[in-house]
Amino acid sequence: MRFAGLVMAVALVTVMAGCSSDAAVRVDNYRMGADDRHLTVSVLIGERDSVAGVRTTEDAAKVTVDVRVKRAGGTGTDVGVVRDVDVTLADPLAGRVVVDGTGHEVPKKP
Amino acid sequence: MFKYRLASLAVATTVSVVASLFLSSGTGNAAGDEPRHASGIALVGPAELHPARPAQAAAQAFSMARELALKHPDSFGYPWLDPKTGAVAVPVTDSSGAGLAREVTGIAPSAVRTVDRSYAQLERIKEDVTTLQDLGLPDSDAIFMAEPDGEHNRVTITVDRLSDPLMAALAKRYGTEAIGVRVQAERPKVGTNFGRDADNWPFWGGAQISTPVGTCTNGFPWVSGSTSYMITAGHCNRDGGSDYTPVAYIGDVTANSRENWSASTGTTFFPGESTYRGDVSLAQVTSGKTSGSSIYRGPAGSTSSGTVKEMWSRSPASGDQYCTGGYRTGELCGWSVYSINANIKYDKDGPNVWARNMTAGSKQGQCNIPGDSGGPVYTVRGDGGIAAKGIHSGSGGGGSDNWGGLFDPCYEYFTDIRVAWFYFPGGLRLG
Repeated sequence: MRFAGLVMAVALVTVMAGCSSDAAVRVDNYRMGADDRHLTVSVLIGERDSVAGVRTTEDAAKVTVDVRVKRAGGTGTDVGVVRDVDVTLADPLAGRVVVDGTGHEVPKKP
Repeated sequence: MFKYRLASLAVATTVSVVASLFLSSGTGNAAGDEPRHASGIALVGPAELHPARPAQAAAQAFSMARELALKHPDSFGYPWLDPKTGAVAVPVTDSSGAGLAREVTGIAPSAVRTVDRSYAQLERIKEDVTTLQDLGLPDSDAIFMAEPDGEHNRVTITVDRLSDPLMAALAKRYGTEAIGVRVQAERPKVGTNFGRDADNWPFWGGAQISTPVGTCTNGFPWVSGSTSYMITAGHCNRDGGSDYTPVAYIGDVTANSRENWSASTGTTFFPGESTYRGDVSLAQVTSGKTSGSSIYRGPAGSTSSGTVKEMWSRSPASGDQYCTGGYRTGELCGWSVYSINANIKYDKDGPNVWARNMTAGSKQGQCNIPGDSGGPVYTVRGDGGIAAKGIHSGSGGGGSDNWGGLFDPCYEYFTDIRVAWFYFPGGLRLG
């Protein structure tokens, strides 16, 4: 009985984990905006997915741009569409690197 | 106007001077039994890509011969290490070279021979070949390599197609003995325009493409007669249109007759057909470019590849294992077929969108993600070659993190390549 309960709990946690509302997505590149405090980052998401939000954290060495995507869910095609997201920094980017919410360094688009 | 006239005069003068320089280099040293083009230039066989490792002494002797040629470029020709015998041929043009060559002969089996063309002359030709496109020689864009041919003491020029006007121009410029020409239809991928994220022609499968719908992955190279195609998912080109890699225009897809997808209903019939053929489209590669015979392998962003050796000899069956090669996730293996000839409701794409006549598979771990559509489905043979099985269409499962677990595995849906092959002209381009 206890074992069955444990299995159920693990299953529930697993399913819940898969149903979280949004997830970090890889940011493919960024380009500078009007000034050194404004960036536009590009992400590739599904045709029916949507950008749920963006969280930006900064320190002396890097700027983390965590773009959250709400997956459409269900079954369907895997065509990707590019979405641009504007980001405003607290301080000028200067020489800091940009990383995304998955930990990858984001290249600057030439 | 003056600028162009001056440039033309400069080019003409250069051609004249260079031709007299090269043509004065004499003949000789070429094997008499080689096949030759009508221009008189020898046609060289395919490159030996896996030569045997030479003996240490022979390699040292060859190295020494090369150093001597570099120091005395007018007294030596191109040294050659015979891969079959391990002997070093040391070509000399004068008595000075013959004297110096004795340094080499004591190290390893070596033969000193007298030749007409010097190392310096041959190197000038080799360098000059790199300028031919700028000089406007006909079809000189076909040239993609120039290298020493020590065996014949000449320069081998490799082209991706044989052109009579180019051969005539080369013969006029360099004579018929100082060069040989190798025809290699498929250029190796070199430079920065290469890889899953930056494919250029000859186009390979597994690379990123942009279509009128969005971002997808090329499936497999395809050919019919002399026309090149690339096969990918139908929904990527659901209204036809043009396909591009990030660095090159590929070609066009004709609506309806070369794609079978409707945004509102999913799989449609090809004209005149009553059989559903999954989710496929065929882009005709634009004139002057070709499809290759490979697909990219490895992770996202990879430049490694495998040659497509066969179309899978039968249609999929439950339990078959396979890999997908979407550009976004890279090579994902460990898929296992669990259903064939299935109609799958793509509820993510619309209320009544169905992919028809699909093969379904599942696995745990990384699932496919947006951008993978149209990618190759395949297995890797024992010899490293690719056996093509299908075209990736869609996916499900794995939750918002696209990671399949025991209770929520990844599901993958693909079109059996044979189902597409029965309709489209031609077939896979095999290497």
